[in-house]
Amino acid sequence: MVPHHERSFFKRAPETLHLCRLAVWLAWRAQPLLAGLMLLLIALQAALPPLLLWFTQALVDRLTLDLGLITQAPELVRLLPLAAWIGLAAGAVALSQFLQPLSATFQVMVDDRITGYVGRELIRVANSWQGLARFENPEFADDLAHARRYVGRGGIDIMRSGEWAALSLLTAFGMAVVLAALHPLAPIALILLTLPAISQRWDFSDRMGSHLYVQTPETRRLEYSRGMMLTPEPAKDVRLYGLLGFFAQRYQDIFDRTMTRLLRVRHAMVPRVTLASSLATAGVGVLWVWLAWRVFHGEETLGAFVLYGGAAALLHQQLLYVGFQLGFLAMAFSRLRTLQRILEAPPDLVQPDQPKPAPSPVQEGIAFEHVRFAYPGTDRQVLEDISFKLRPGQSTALVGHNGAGKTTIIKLLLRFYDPTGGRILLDGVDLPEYDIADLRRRMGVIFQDFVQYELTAGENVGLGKVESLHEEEQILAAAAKSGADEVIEGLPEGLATQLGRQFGGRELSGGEWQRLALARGFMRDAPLIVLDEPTAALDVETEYAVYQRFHALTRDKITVLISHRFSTVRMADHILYLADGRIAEAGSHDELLAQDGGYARLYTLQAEQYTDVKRETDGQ
Amino acid sequence: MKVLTEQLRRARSTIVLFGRGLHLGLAPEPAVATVFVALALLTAAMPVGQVWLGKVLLDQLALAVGGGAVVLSAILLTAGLYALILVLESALEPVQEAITARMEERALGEFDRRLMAAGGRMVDLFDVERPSFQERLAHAQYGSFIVPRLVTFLQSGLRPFLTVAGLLALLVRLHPLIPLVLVCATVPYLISERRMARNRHTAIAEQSRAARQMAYYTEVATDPQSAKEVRVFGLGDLFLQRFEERRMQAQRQLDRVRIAHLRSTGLFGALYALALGGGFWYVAAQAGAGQLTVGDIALYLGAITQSQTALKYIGNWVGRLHEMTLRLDTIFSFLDRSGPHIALAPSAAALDAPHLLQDGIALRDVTFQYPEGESDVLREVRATLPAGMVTALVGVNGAGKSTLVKLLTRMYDPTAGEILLDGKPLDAYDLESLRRRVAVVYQDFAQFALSLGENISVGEGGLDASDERLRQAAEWAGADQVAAKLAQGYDTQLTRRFSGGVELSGGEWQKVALARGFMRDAALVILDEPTAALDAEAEYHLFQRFRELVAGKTALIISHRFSTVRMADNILVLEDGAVIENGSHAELMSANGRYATLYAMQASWYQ
Repeated sequence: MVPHHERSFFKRAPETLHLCRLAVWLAWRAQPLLAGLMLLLIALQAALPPLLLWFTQALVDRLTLDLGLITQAPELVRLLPLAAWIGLAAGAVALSQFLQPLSATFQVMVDDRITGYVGRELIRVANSWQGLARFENPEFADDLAHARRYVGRGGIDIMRSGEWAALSLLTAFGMAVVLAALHPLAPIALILLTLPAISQRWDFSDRMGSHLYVQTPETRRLEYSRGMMLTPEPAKDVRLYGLLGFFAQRYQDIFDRTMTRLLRVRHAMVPRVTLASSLATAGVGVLWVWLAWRVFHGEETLGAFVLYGGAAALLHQQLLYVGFQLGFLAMAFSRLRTLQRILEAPPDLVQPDQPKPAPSPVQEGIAFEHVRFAYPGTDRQVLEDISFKLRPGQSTALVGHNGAGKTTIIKLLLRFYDPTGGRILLDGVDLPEYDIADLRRRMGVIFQDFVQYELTAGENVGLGKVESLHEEEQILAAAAKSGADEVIEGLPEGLATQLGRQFGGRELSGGEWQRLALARGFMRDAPLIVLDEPTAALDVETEYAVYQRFHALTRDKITVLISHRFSTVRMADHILYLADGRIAEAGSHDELLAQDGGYARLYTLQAEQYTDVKRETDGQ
Repeated sequence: MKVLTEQLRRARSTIVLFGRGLHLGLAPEPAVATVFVALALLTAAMPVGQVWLGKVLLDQLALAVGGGAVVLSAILLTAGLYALILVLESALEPVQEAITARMEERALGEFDRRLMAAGGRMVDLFDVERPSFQERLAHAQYGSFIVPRLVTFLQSGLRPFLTVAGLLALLVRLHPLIPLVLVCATVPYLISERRMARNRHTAIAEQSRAARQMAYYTEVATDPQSAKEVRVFGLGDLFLQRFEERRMQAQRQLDRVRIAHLRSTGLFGALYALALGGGFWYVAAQAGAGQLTVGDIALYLGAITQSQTALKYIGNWVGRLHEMTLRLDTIFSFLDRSGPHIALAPSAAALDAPHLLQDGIALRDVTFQYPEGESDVLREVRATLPAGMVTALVGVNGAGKSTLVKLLTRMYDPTAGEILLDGKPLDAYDLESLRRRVAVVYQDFAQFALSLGENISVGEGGLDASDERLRQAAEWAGADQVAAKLAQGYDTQLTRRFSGGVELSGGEWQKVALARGFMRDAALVILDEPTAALDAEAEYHLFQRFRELVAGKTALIISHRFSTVRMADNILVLEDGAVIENGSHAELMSANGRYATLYAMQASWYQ
């Protein structure tokens, strides 16, 4: 389960303090004024119980004096009549009743703001990573996914339990001060007796506290299985293959396993917690009996009995409550830890102090010189000693099996990573020396796994050039180049039509989405164009039309193309055939065919299927 | 009178809904539920006992202080009893908590089972693909959060109710009007809390879209899948800005509701202070007149303070109860209303689908329009898929190809016309038996967060897939190579959804999806764009073996690759929702129509 459970309350204390500081800092950053007000209110609320107890003591002393039961009383008690003391006590009660909703409201308002603030920080920090290393690191991607989930649900929850814990702690402190007047050892003894209970209570609510709501690995698996029958994305497969039973069974297995474990832990813990709590409360009981004994013997006034008895009960109650609330905080803390890792992650790519603007127009082109690359944290060389040139006005195709290194070359070209060896030059200057934002503005890219934005159709295209996000003319012009204009014409509200399922928009077919993605790439008039399987889902005519314009679209530009379709590949001026992270063959289509190597073999494999000679390979 | 009946009706529906939700937690283990209720009653009585014993103790002590006849042992006994109640209360608390947690978990399990069953009843895609579904689903799924909490919620209401009753009974002795005044002071508060709850409910409902948008912007900006595009197109700032806009808007709205709430509680707080002050004043006056003992004063002040706090809590509780039932209403109506929209044959009369087709499938003037669509996607489609043959379907993006697949698998029923399987309409067959005989590799196939092996074996229902069959299917599809590359082979967890999972490339996923389809001993095999992401060699090998794979079966292939299409026995050309050409490759080529044009277009690239 969550590993931090294995450590006890006391061992976790230093880390807890550190995370508390982080929580307060977050609250402060999110909304200093409200957070400050809230802290002030907590202090005020904590001051009220000792005040109330003290008024009650004076009240009782005054009454016993009035009734003639005693003859001696402190000067202060004599100062005011009985009715005034009762009035003061009533005032203290009324004030606390008034403050409570006030602080509760501030609390949720601060909570809202922290959630919003953290959401914003998450985006801001993610934006500051210009490469892909963080996103492609599985552990970091996990962290990001977790943070996204609970921020999306407004589940930071630090304040909810934190504020109460702070209030209880402060109140308990006030009570301890009151009790010290009775005997300096009294509060110490009570606190010592309560410590085991606090520690047990923490562990108890940490492990027991409605475990199935908070986001543990188990609950996420439960949620996943439960959602399978309902979510639209896998709906077809789930229904066709009749997977209700499968996922229901899986849910039940995880559920039963979790329940069994929880019950076991619970059975083991309940007696311990009960014993510890009883012990702590027994301390209060003993104090009461002792107080009664002292009053009987005339060593304390009745007022003192009320005061100290009340203080002891409250001290004990508040301390236990701290343990209870801290237990719930454990989950919030594990979230804080994740957040901390994300928010404090340094930028991933080295940025020069004085970045150069990207060249415009590009003169010489791009050169890979002895480039080697291994993904961070791995030893496997994905690329070994790769050298080639990309010149303006020339198109280059990358060919090879899945995993040959085509996509990695693209990632280096776009500076999602820096090479581990060798260098990449643009017009003779190392890529890292350019301003990265400026550099990227000069790139038009269409990815194989393009994004289907749950935005309007127009925005799906316009995002290719953010500054022209709502320039209809430019959008329609780009759309016409990819056949997306036909898609847009078919939509009820044209460019303004909301797409995707999440916000109740129109769902498009795979080919229609791809046309929009292509149009997005065409929004930019970039000197470098990268096309990664740009037409996989397009119908013949649209593909044909796109490639008819291929030469017009890529004229004077550096074009890099990845495709499994040799019909597309052969259009490139230059072809690099990759195998095992090296360039195995390079040349034009005709040259490579003449070489009769790996490229020629793959090409023939595909081209044969279009030759109109009736082959006997099928239908045997 | 009318208002009263309306109020009563509402109160009844609240109780019915609450009871229905509570039932999920209480019913599975009646014995535990009994203990739960008993403990709740017992702990509710304790504060009353404490107040009472406190009074007795103080009276005894005052007597002793005044030199009256009272023995020490009596005092110590009272003090001891008081302490015992304290200890008992804190000892019972963890027990109670453990029981509550257990019941909550049961409730969660029960609710989730019902939710899944509701999903299971939606055998078609009629509801699931509706634009409004996502929102309805989000509301229903909130039930997993709220329904288990009803148990704790009940407990948190039961206690103050009982405590208040006991404390008020104690106060009757002081003056019968005092409890009445205290209760009356609560009524306006209670009404306002209910109203506030309703406002909060509406605000949150309105908020949910903004919240989902915020979640979406966060996702796009931080998700590995969109990271590349966001960086190349420089979209990070745009999403940050939109997030901020929504956040500010949402915050203003929520703040309004919260401050309005605070204002109304402040107002009623003043009323309270007045009632409290009145009570205290009466006690002071009585005490001044020498009518009360020390114990009485402590008792009454304690009872007034505590009952007033509890009453206020009850007011708030009733407000929350109202809010909860509003949500329970949406949740249960989702569960109650979920059901199929396609026609289901009565199980007695339903036919079993054949192992292999005799005649094949015939579409007779099939017309289809999506539930909320504006126009027909398919118009009077007439076509046959001859038994034992491979039929290919060709058409531009958006021509209705994938829709046709949905009709064949009965994800929808045609709006007009009918589909015959071996001469009998599709809806005459038992749905489950029919689907068991169909294997489909969808263009947008599901990528399950399961192991590689499970992602394939779900093709056979996932429960009892034999190892050998799995390996065979994987080999046919080339997914065995995917497994070979992974350290844990078929046991590797896929997708990054859960820690330690591995993400596959598009081509690798496609092989997995193909293997899933091949798991089934199907009569009808449908492949929708099966090779879009495969490399040339993998595609070649797949089609080399395709004939062998579908031997005796009826197959339908949708593809934009004419290399694939041409090997079909029968080709259908779909345009604007209607079949315009039909025949073998050779026939269609010599007809020199639409198909021939398209074919020539693609083949020309290879000349």
